[in-house]
Amino acid sequence: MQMELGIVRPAVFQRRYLARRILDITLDPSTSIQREHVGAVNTIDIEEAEGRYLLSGGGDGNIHVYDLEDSERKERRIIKTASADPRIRLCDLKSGAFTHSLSGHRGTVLSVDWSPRHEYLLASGSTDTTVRLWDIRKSAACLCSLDLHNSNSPPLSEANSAHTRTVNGVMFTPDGLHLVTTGHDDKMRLWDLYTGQNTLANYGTMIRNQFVSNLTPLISPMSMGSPTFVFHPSDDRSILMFDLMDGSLVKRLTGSYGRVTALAWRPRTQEIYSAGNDHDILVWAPKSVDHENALKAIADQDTWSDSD
Amino acid sequence: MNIVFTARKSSAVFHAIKGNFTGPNDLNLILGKGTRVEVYLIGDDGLKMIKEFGIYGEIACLEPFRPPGYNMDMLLLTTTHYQMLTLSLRLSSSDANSGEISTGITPQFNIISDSLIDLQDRHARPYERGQIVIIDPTCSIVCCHLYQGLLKCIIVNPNASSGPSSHQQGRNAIGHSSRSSTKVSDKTFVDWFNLPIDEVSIISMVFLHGCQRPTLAVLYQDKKEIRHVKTYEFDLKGKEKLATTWNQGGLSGAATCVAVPAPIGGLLVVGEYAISYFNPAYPSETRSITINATSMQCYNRVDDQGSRYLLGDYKGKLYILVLNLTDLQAPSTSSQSSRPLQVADLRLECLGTTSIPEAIVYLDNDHVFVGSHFGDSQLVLLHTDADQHGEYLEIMETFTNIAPLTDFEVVDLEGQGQGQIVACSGAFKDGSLRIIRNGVGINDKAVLELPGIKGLWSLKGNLDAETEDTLVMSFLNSTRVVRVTPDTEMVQEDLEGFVNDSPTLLCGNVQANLVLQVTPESVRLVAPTQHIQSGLISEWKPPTGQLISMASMNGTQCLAAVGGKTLIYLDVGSEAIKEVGRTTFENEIACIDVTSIDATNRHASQVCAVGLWTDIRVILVRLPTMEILASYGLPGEILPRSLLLSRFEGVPYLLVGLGDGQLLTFNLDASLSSLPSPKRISLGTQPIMLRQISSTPGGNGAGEASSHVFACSDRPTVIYSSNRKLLYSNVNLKQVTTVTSFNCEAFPNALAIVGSDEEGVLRIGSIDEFQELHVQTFPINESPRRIAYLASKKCFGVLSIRIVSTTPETVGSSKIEVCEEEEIGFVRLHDDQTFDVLHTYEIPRDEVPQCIAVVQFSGDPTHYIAVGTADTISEDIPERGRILILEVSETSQLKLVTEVEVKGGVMAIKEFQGKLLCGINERLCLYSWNTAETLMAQSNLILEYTHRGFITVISLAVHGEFIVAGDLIRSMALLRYTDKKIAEIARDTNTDMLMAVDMIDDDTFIASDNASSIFSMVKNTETTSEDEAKRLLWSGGWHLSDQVNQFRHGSLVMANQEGDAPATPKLLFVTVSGAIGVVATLTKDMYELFHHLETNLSKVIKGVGGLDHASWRTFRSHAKTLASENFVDGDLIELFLDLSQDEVNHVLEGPDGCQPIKTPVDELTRLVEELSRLH
Repeated sequence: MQMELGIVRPAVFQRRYLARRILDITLDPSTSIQREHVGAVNTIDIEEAEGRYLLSGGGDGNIHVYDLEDSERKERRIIKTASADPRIRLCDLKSGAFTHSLSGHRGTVLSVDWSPRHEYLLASGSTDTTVRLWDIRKSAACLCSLDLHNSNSPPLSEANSAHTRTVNGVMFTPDGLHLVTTGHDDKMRLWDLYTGQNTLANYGTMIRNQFVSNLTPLISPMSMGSPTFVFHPSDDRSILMFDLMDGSLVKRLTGSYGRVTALAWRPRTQEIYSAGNDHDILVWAPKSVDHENALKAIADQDTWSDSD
Repeated sequence: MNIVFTARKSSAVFHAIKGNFTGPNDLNLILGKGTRVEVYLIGDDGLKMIKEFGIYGEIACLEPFRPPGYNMDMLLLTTTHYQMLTLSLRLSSSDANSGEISTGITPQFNIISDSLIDLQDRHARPYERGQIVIIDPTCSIVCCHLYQGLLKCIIVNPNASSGPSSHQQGRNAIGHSSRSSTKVSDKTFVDWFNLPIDEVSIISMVFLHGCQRPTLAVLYQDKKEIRHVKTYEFDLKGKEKLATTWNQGGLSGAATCVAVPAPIGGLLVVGEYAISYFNPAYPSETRSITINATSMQCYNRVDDQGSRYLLGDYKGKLYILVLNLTDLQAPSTSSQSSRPLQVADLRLECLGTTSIPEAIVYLDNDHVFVGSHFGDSQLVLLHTDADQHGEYLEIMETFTNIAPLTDFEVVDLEGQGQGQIVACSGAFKDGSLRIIRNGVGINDKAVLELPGIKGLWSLKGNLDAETEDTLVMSFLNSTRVVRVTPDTEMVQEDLEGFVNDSPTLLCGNVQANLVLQVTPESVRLVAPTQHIQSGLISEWKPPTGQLISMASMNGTQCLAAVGGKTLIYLDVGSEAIKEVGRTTFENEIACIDVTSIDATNRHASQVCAVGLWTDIRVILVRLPTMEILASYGLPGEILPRSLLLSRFEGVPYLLVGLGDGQLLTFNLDASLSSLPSPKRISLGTQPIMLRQISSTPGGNGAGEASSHVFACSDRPTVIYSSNRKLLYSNVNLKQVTTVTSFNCEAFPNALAIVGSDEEGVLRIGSIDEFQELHVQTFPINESPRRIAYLASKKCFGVLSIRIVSTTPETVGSSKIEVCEEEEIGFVRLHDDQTFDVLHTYEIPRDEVPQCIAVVQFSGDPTHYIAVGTADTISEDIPERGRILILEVSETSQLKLVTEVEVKGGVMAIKEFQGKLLCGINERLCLYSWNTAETLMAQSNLILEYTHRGFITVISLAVHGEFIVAGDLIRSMALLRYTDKKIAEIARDTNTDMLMAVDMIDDDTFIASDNASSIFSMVKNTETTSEDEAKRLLWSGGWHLSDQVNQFRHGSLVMANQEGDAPATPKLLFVTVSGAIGVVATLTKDMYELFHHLETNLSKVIKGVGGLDHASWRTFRSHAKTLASENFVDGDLIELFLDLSQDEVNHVLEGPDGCQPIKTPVDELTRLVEELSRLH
């Protein structure tokens, strides 16, 4: 109503509304995704153009495409390859050829991400405990290796390390100003890319992260005035929801029967999709007041339930 | 393919500033109304609008700006799309010589674009609290806070030229050439730079006065939501800012900073609970007072010294804040400081209640302009003494504002076949219902049935008297004279010397207190009773056997057509009527007019106009020589039936009414040697009779009685002029045969009108204010939300919300009052004629009414009112709500028939195939009606089907078996109801937050989103792929710069009889800023033509300040930006009619690489004229 009167700016209203919905996110009982993988689901992603198709890659060597609008599923069988090479290879999607190799890491690179702000900026995390930032235009491509202690050592110093153990997740914030990293030291760190410093945000001790595989936190869309949330899958079968800036734990999403291996965000409906090593993909959605009815409707698909 | 017109421009005042814009000594008030700027001149007789112009963009900030060395102010404005421009106003060269503005002629001003800077930053995040633009007191720097954490500082050229610059001038301000670059390249600004600022949540910013370097005070909120003020000093050379040590925290509820001018210096921080004064230079001099909890909306400084400020709060209370000063130079304290003044104390006093203000401007001489968004804007006079209500103010003038329009119905209350809008307008204490219709209303004061009345004239006491008191009525075979006494009695009079047993052709006052009566037999000069020698003074008779067929007169002259073809010019002296000239035409005379258009002599004319039969032409004849000055043959075979020479705003016109209801207007030049080609407008279908009237609209005697012309026809119309443009207002009367001004003592400013619709009726009534759309107001003093028309009971159901304060409690010993505020919702039944409240149904306190619909269930003839409620009005997601079914009884009482409680808020409700369709949070529910009185079921509403798949349904439109649902997040979906099931058949796959949806037809849907755009989607009927058919196709988007709250089918004009109009009006919409728009559909050919015309026009009519039309109209949502497509800007197209011949040719030839338009000018003009009649 305040929007109709022009008191509240529509953008502000939308932002507050969405933020409130994110806080309400729980496991959605009314939607389920059919279990297709026979192995653990290792990675999922949602295409950006329409937010309609979900891609999942499983330990069974299959990639499945799900249509989230309908419940039908299209399947394609592709063998997935993994690399244990300490170099980062850049592939040209048009030609399919490797165009670049970025050397510098001394361990397996487990995670890379492109900056949304500068198209040539790349971040990578490796088992050698370092997080490196690269400018792919340059021959000496590595810009710096992030240092957890904010010591004044040279940016490329061998002593720099971002985590005390393997780094298996790097993720730029949507505005490209910060970088979130996570490692086997059970810590998540927030880096200010303007200064290259650790912001020392403390995300507590709840995180469990011990498996040598890519594990990327999910960051909710940013908007001013409301906190941004970061969703971190934890090895204890839960998803932890933190306030990105001050590090406080907002919520713990439980319900998965297996270790959560990947998360994907669907902006249209504000749903989170999680993949687990229990072969399932789960849907987490903002709580609806009509939950009971929805549950009833599922239980009783053919007879119409009345809310009275 | 659609064309969008504005039927009523936005009326909410968002910005108001004062300054010397039109001249160094002119005091101007400038209002920003969304996309328009209005310039007023403040004179002795009130506010006078002198210029109005549109901006290709929505105004975000509007500030007066006077660069060093200038003696006049410029306008500095930013748009919501981050363009900053400066404009100045200058008298147009043709008027510059006349100098003084006080002459009756409205001066023409040109807008001179000074500079345009693009401040857009693709990487920065827009600041959601809105833009802040401030200028430092010495005018050396402009500081803009547009993006979060970023200040854009623009350095003003200290050596800017003094006086008006030699920039290009043009009709609509020719744009700046170097607009594409972000580099500042003109004389006013020298450079600009970005400055990051740590404070990410800035509430208010202000430049302090009396500082060495520009000093910025920033009121901001930290992460813990505590508000602080700190200051920064600017180093313009180093392009840096330096934080100063001064910082004041813990300002809870602080909302605004106000700079106090030198020599006092420092700043005021106005909060919800306190007002504080700080001076960073003297931190010890902090003064603070607590106030009753309120939220101040705006402020304005009263005097240049800065000791008094006007503040307006959200309830419409006007306060004055007084800074009590101590003179430090007094001997006792002189040792402390070199400053002359110091703030000793603050005092806040309530002056009274106005409209809820958006902007306050102290004009001059205790006059204050209160610009409002939620109610009418006002001109207020402050008094030093309280009146009997304890108020120190008096409202002098109100300016109609209908914003914000939240909902409306299109109804035809008077059964004339013309739609009217009944709208929910305003909010809070200024809420009202408004009837908006085309045309002017007549308020009947007296109605007399006079069968057979043919003619009507009014007589004054003498020629120059202001009031009329006598009516002369002509019947078939007689004439009657009636005098109206001040106590409204009508007395029949026998004027000595008057012919009573013959019809009268013409009657009127002439010089020397005499009266002229023209009958078919003679022209008689009569002295009225009070005259010394009463009776017939002189008489002129036509040659025997010939009769006078027609006559026209002014104060000293009379023209008579005798024997069909002969025109006789009679000079009417004080003692005799003399024949001065005579001429015979080849054809019979159809109409004549000798009204003076001479500015210097109102009572004698040197020219007369004659319309002729057979060869159908209009000629101008010089008097007394009777030579033909100019002649114009009318195309077609329609006779001219009435002529009138008239001056509007000093411009002479010849108006010609034709037999088929068309009106031709000739714009006469001074020499009168030729008749330029006329403009043609169709007013009705019956012959037009033109009469000059001099009634003052609105009945307020403030403005001078300007001339208006009343065109009597089957669609009576008042013709008047504004900004040198002729405007036409329909009068809400049926057939009118003749009319005369009748400003008598008993009925001030009245008109006497003869209508022939009911066998001759004489009505005396006053005329409402002239507007293109006429607005009638019915205040309800609470926020109206939704409206529905119950035709069967002739009443409106209105949902409204009232904010009720509990009785104030005094806390502690202080006088601070604390009161709780509570919202109560009502369903009110209003009569459709008087708009009185017939009955009220109160909604329980924890519920808020959200939607209303009139519904008729299948199997039940009763029309019910269905109301949906939710448990919350704020942004929380509602958890429960109710559907109420109310019945209106014979005695117009609302009776609750049944109710259903649901989980979630009922946000949208519609009748659908004899059932009730509700949008409840994320689902659509269809309820059917059980008429059987079952004991078991508590409710007569039976849930038939539930469809899920939305986030929050916010708007519904239904047609046939199709449903279009608009979602708060997920754009729109098309659903279909078959086999007792609702199934989604197609959806817009974009994410877009909608405000309203409607169906243009079964396949085309229109929606408005929260980014001030409208867009349309079509059903994909061509594809065979099932997958593609499930997506709605994008058919066009268009940026409106205003947020549409509701669409409805309907039109404000008469249903088109001819059926060959280039566009079909389909929908009306209303907006937050009070605009009413029309969406009409175009055929493909017409779209291409008008789109082409639009493109070419936008090149010729340049946007003010060089803003680009196409980029303004580009569709922008939060997700994407698309060039405007399949929408044509009707307002721009209509400007085609105002172009000069050269400009028209330029448009047609195709300027700047545009394609030439091949359609002939006449054809194009006709099409555009027909378009402009659609609203």
